[in-house]
Amino acid sequence: MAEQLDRETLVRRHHVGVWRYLRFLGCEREQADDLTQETFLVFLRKPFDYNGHASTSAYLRKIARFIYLEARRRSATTDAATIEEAERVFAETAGESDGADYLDALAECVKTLAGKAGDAVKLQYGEQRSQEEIAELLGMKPNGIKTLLQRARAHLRDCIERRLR
Amino acid sequence: MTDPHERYLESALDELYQGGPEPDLAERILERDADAPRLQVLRDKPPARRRRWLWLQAACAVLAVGLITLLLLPREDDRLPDTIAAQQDSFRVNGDNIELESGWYVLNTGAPAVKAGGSSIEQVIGRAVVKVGEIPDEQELRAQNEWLRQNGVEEDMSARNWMKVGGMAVCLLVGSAVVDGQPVHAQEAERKRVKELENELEKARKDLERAEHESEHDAEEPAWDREQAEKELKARREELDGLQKKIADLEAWTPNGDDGKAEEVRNEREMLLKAAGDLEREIRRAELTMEIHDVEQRVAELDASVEDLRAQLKKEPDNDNLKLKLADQDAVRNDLQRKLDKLHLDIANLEKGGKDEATGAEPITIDFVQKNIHEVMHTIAMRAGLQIVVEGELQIKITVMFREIRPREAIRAICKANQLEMIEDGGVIIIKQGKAEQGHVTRADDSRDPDAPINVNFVEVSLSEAIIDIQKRSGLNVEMHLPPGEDPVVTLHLEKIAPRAIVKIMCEGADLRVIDRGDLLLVRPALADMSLKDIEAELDQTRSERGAVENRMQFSEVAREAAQQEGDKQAVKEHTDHIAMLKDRLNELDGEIKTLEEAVKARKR
Repeated sequence: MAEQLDRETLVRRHHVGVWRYLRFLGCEREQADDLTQETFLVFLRKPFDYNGHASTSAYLRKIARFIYLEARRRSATTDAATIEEAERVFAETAGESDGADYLDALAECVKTLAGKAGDAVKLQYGEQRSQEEIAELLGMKPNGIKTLLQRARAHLRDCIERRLR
Repeated sequence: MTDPHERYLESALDELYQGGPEPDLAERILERDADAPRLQVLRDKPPARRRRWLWLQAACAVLAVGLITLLLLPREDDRLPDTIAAQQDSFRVNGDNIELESGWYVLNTGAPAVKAGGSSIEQVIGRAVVKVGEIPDEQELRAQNEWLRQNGVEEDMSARNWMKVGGMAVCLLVGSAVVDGQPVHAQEAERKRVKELENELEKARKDLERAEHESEHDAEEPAWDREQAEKELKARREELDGLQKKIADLEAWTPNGDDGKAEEVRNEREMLLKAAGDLEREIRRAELTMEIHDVEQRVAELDASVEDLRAQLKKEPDNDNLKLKLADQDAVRNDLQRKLDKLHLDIANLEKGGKDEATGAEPITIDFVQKNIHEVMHTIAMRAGLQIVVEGELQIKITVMFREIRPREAIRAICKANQLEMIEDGGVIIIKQGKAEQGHVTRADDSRDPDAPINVNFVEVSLSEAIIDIQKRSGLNVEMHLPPGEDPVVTLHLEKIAPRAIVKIMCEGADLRVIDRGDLLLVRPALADMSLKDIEAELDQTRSERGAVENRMQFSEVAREAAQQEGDKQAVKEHTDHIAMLKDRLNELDGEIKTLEEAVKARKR
């Protein structure tokens, strides 16, 4: 028996995934909020066949992508090929949970970062410090911070991949 | 940041630390949508939907006359939604659908389904122009030009690909739509884009050729610019995407009985496949080059750090901490150097992909640090298509770096530097101990016995670090090929165990294969974790190695016969032992080949 879904359930289930996708495409937080709303406005005004969570997510992403491209086209920075690639990577990486599992794995993996690598990640993403500031705080050269963050990210990607496998 | 995986991680990190969407976003969406028509979710699967339509049709039959009359009358509700613009229009709103009778329409994302003459267009994501009737001619298009422009269609519609479906002509400008149940993409737009990409690709190729030509005459190598390289790589990936889309479109093309067109499509597809293959190689080469530069930079940083540590150690020769740190840095550097070797080898193999292996005269680039001579010669033989026999149990470790050198020159130089003799016998190159040095084998690790038992106590150490430690302490040769991103953590305490047994225990625990080649242990991913391509590559390599061992055995058999004729019993015994050892090696290789062949077969099934 198919699930009984109303518009509220659909919005609550999918709005974070759409927002996450738009952020991944490169939207600032506020723009992601606006475009998520636009996406659902289009979505909710159309009839559609509900064939499960994954296909609804994919359909919503398709609308979000178009709306995002339209917004970018208006600012003359369209890059459709990159968006296509981004769509592929998002679908692969975020999976059926729309990225929630990835985020959980990331939260665990961040805990495994020790020493300066952990500090650098916290300063960059938690406190949104510049690399120059981080270098000064950790007593390193800015280039060293760049390398340190690259390594930390590589470690996180490996760790997440292992956890999600 | 161009790598989308990296970008995904970045946005996830941002969400982790800065939080997700505003908590009230769902409410805001629902609030904004409160005045909109209700969402119509067709909850059941298609059969249920058909039943619903059957019911509606039955109702329609009962109320036929009245309903038709009602539908024909103009009503307040017969308005087009914002997502559709119309011109000279006449239509009827029929439930979820709009029945078009005449006129021109621009359908934008979110437009409801429209129907004409039994055909429908729905689920527009993008923009489509619909004209009721036949495909418009130039004159009709010109007449609608201004109206189209006002509705965001500024392109030359005559150059567009129109299609006739049922009672309407449809032109999909951007995105996709479902036409009569079939998904359709804006192919013409894609076609144009691909054409542009092809032109760009051709231009890029010419630029590359010119750059290569210029670099041959340029004494100084230009500084490598990472930003520029990333930009170019991104452009190449985009070109490749475009080509792949075009190929997919061509593959989706359905023959319509026009043989000429079918031939044209086939030829175009082949041409694009070839261009995509070239582009893929170019991208791989660029990726490897970037990785090489990254590793080289890290090696340079490490070298500087090692220099500092050495200088400090001179001042404080008894500082154990410094010694340990230096040993650590050395181990990491060795690891990086191995990675660099592998990358150079990969890039060289990539170059080789386009060349004629049979000539054996193509220049090669090799870069090895402390590699066993058998491995070095094996690599040269593989890459240059030469037959090389390394006689006896030469245990020489060599460090070489040759760029674009003729294979024979490389072999000659290696032999000269290591007091080896190079004999060319027909198509075979034989490498043996130099006469002056016979009886003395140079070994980098000759002070250590790779089979002497050792103790290990690893606590949460990465496998690669543990193996490097064993290599350093025992002189055991181990070649590691861990799966990308895999370096399991090892905790192990063992006493008085042979180093090769320790390596095997650790690798088995990590689900890795260990191939024992006597003087060399090969650590490889489990077959289940390897791609078909990688298994086939390993199979090729193992077969080629088997060929080399067979050659060596034949050579030894000839040498044994010669010794028998000369009556040199000692030499006969040595050759017999050597042949027996090679036979064992052949059996092992046969076993490996069989396993790999079975794995390939299983994958193909």
